[in-house]
Amino acid sequence: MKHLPVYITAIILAVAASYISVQVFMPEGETVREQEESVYDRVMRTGTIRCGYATWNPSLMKDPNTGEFSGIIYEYSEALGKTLNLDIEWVEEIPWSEFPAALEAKRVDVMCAGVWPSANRSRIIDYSNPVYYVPFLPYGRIDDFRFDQNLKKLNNPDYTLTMTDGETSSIIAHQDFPNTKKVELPQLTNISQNFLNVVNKRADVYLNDLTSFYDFNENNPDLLRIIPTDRPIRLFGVVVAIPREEEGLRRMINNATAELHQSGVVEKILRKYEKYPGSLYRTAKPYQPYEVPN
Amino acid sequence: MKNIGVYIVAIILAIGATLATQHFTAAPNGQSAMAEKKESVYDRVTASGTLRCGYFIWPPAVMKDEATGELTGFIVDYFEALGQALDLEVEWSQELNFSTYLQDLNAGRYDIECSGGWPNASRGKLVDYTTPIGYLPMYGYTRADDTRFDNNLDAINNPDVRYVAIDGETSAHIRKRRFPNSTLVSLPQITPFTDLLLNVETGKADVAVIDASQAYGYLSANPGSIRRVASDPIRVLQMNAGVAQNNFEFLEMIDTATKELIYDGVIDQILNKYDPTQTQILRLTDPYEVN
Repeated sequence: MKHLPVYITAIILAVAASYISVQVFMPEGETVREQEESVYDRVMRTGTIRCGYATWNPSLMKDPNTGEFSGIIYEYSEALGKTLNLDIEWVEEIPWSEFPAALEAKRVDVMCAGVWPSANRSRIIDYSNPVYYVPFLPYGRIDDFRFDQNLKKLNNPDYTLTMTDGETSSIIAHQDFPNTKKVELPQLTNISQNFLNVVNKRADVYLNDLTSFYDFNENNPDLLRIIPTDRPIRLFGVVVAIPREEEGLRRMINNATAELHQSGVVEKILRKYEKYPGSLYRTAKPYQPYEVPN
Repeated sequence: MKNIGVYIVAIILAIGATLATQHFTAAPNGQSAMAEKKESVYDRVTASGTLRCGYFIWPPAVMKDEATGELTGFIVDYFEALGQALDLEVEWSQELNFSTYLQDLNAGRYDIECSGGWPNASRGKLVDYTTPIGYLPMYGYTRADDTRFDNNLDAINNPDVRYVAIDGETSAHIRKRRFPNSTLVSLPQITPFTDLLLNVETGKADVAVIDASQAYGYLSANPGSIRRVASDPIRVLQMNAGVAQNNFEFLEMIDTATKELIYDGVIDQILNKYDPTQTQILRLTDPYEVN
């Protein structure tokens, strides 16, 4: 033990030398964390985008027997991979409530499910440009004209809105119609029950997307109608979600998405899956109409 | 000197600890964390006050007077206006080589690609693109007496149809995606774009896909020689500029200045000067509504 002071001095010297070497030679302000490989770099290195997914019609469907995928965002993602010369790997089905955390933890590179962006989620994740839009409209009974071009009238305790707890219909109802009486169904209720609530006069209006309405209307014709309004109550851009601070990845996906729009690939996919013409809104052309002479 | 062995062990420990620290602070991609930080394009441009443009000759975007060397065109005017707005000198530093221009951009041999961008997905893997100032429509063209493809573009996707394209260029890219079954008549990269139409006119090919401005110029010089096969564009292309990857401060600076030129009406003035009939370059829609 007589050399103990020398060994202690050696350890102190070693720590000091390590500290000085890092402080002197490490570029200013740079930390080890900043040197971590970005998702973009990993995608380019491996040639693979690892997709997370969740199923909803018509964005992404999975055949329970064969496991085969189909849907607008499925085909869009595959087209994206093809045009970028990258493989698309469908790695994990992720519940809707968990996908922001999955992106943050880098369990997947992109949530390829057709996500509706929200300001709240954008605090922790980022989004691509829209592939298409889903309009939210109000539906009432076939013989009820009270709210035509006057939906503000609905914001009154004399009227009732039906909705599913925690879903978009409920969020919009609470934001836009705080004074309206509300019938809230539990989360796992089939949405057709909301339409039936209007038919059976338990409620006056239901807010949802056009495809859901047309599905109900196909099986239950001449019971409900779209309440005429100047514009949809909401318009949701259907996008893919990507991790925050991945500007290189986001720009690459947006450039490729623009190409798929401008080359007609997205339109071809939408026509294939749009069961009811006019139910899925297209992205506007970014250029003005024109007439080109021959 | 009786403790010299102990001191040697101490020194070895110190060196070992230093090397271990360096090892664990190294970047995962093998790049040393101690490597000197590279100067960004933004830093270089703002420090020097000069924007170095790389360009292709591509009428009417970039044209060169062979006698004087003077450059004109709507992209030239756009960048000169951009330089003025940003208080930067625009230096038309080099004519680009098609096969290496993206790698040259990332290597910092010039600051920005000033020829219209022509972005697509595969180029977007390597570089970034600025906000567009307009869109370029690309149409199919055939001989004046050939009506086979009129409003039936799918008929082009047939081995009996000879599709002429420049190797590696946008027309070849469109064939690969849209008309893969057509028979390719391939022209080398240095071929002028108008040779695509010459091949169609002289019967060496049946169809070419080319931007409206090139076709307009060709038709002005050779009236009645070719015709457009459909009223809608086969593809539209953003007119913008390529910048080296991961230079987001620089990209934001160019985008902000470009939007200023768009909202001030400067871009419209420039485009109207070179395309007064508003048929060769599609104008942007307004990002707002007036009630």
